[in-house]
Amino acid sequence: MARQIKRAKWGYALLLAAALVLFAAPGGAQIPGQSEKAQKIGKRLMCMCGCNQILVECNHVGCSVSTAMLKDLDARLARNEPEDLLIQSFVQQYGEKVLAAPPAKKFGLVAWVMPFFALLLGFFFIRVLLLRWRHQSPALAGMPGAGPEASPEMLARARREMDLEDELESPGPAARKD
Amino acid sequence: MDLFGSFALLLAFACAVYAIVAGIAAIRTRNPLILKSARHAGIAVCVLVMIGTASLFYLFLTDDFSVSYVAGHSNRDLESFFKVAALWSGQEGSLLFWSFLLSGYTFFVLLTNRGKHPELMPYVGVVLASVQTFFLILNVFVVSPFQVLAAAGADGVMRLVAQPDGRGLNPLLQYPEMVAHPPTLYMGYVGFAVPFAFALAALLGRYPGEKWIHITRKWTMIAWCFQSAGILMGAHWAYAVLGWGGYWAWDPVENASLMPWLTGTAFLHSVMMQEKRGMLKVWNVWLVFTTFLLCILGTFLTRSGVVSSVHAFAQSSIGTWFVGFLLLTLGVCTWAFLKNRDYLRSDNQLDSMVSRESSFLFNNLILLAACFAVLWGTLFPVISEAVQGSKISVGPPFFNKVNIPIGLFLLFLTGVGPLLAWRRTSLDSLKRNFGWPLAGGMVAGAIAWPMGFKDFYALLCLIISVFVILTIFGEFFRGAMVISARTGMNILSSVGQLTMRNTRRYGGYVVHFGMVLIFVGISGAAFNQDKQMEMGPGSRMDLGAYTMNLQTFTQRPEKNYTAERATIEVLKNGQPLLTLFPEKRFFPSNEMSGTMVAIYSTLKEDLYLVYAGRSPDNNQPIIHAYLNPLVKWIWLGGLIVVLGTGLALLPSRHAVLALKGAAETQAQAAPAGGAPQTVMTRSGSHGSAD
Repeated sequence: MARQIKRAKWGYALLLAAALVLFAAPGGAQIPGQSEKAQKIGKRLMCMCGCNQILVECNHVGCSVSTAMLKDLDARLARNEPEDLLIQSFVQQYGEKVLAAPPAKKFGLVAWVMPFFALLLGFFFIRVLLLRWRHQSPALAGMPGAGPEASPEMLARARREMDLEDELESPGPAARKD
Repeated sequence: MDLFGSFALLLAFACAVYAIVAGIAAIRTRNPLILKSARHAGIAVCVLVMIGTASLFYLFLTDDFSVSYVAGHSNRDLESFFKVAALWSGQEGSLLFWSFLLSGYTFFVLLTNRGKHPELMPYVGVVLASVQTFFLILNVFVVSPFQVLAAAGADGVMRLVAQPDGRGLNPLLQYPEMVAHPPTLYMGYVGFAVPFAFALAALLGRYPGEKWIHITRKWTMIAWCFQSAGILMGAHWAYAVLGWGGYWAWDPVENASLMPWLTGTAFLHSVMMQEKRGMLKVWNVWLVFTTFLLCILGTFLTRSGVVSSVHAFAQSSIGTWFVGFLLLTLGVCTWAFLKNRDYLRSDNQLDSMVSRESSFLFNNLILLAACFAVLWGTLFPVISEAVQGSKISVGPPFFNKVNIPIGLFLLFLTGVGPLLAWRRTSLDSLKRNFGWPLAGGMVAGAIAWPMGFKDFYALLCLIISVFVILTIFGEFFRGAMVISARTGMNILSSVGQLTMRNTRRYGGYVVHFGMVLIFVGISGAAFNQDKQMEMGPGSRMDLGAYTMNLQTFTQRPEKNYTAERATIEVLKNGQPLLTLFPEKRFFPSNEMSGTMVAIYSTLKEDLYLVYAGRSPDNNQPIIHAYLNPLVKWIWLGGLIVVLGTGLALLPSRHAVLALKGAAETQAQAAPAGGAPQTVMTRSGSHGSAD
């Protein structure tokens, strides 16, 4: 048993090593200079052709809207406009819907807050539920099933099966008997 | 044939209405003849819908362009293979396909439960017939796929007008995977109608105990498995065809398929609480209701045009019908719940806050929170427009920021859940069970950080993934050791024996393992790289360890399209590796273009080449290259999820033996059959409740 556990530990180590080799991140080659910045900003904007896609990911062949927007973006970057100002000018031109994510102000803030508020509410609900269940009297718990008695052979077999099941559930000394 | 198909659907509609009326009459009168008649009407609906669907297939295969739907979605040069897929490529055909799949499910439900559960099945029949009736109303009266093209002649008489050729299938759908993806996803959507029908039936009929859960467990798992496979096939299709380098864009239609999957997953977990401990009865019933309602909501979002999406069908008035059906279904569910909620009292109480019960609750909470976040993000543009008059877009940055932490917490719970015991888990037990896997995860993180794994979420995902994998392997190993010690079998055979003793539990672990691989694959997106450039013959592009040399650029006419193809030699670390052929296809029948991405895929990364068109300045081909790490792990994980679900659907050897023994004793003992209950409950619970 001890040898097998030791072998399993080696197995774990190998698994870990394999995972790390496969996880190893590729080198950091990026698109140089301005294009990289355009890509970064373009990911914060939506294409306004109605496709509901990120500006730099719009894959419509010959989409004149995304082409014009990207050219505009490049031109503004060439003028060294600051990123926030640049995005603001797109918002002025197309409205807030040009932003790929809701702005964290006014009604846009509601979009960000609600999921986490719902999650918190859920945690609170579960806490209340758990406390209520803990204090509930076990009125119906463990009610014996109706019907005639099991035969001694069946009971013996059931005990054998249950012993094995318990051991499968919690091998090792006193494990998970709690 | 169009008339034949129309008539078959009309008759199916009449039979469905009869099945509802006769079913309700049978419930009230308890007359077995009426019940039998209702059941036969249900089967007739299935046969008739199948005939209607077969008629539409025939019209596609014979190029009958006098039928509007065929003319709009097919053409003569279209491969027969894609003519099959054309059936569900548009609004009308896809709704008929819904009816077809629902009729198939109904047929099997009625067949496999023939003569069983007499108090439950009449209600199930009525619920399924009601859902079927709704879709048949759409098929027959609202968006019939059998409408013919007609025009008034000089004499003012309407005559059939057959077009010489059709407009063809959308190029984006002319991809082998698209033949399998929609049916698979629909099998999931439609399949959730079965547990919904049983849940509502059990509530309406005050059917005692957890029987409905036992009956529907396999149906739910089948629907869930199809939904999972359908979502992943859709993601793979988007990856291989749309050519933007990703597989998931948080598009409303993608979100629509994810939401019922999330609640369905929550149900598959929380149902164990009811089976094992008699708890969460109200919760489970509402989870099934919610899952089905989200399936309908998803269908509504795809078809109503309420949210913009590249996947959506054309805008139509059909959305009103879906809203009506949604409200009606919600109303019936609420009424049934309010009327019979007393019957859903929990049988048990909680012994400890640290137990598998509470871990299931948190698992459900996280899944529902994820579902809510997706629903909220999907509907927020509509809500913002209604509230402030202008639309606020909600794109991938929002969904990623909100859902990644939620998803990682869920992944963590995947590892925690199996380590907690039912009822109560002590601190010692926690330390013993968590210590080694948690240490493994931390070591993995410590090694990965200096290796360049700097993205916070990707690093966290690595740590948790290793932790979960170690817990799963630990569970298999510990169980196998017990079997091995008792039987003398080697470890591998013991793992097999262990798995087959409790297929649901260990199949579940396999599913968890598949999910971990999917998370690992998704985490790779943090390290994506891409580069785009104009490439004339002989020019070269470098990306990561790869070098791409464009050799030739050709145009060639094919049967249904003209292809522009780039031939690119790929070198890795300076050594020749392979040649890739990204291409763009132009379909003259509908004047649309499609992309065929060339992918070199390994476990470490995908080299993904897109021929993005030609430069307007110098007519040179533009090649967009992406280096996407670990994507293959997602597809691999998906395959393991499907295999794991298949494993969990197999009957446990242990449970089968125990039930067999029980049945034998039952036969010998008394007709009441209570004798072997102890054995059946215990072994059954282990065979099915973990």
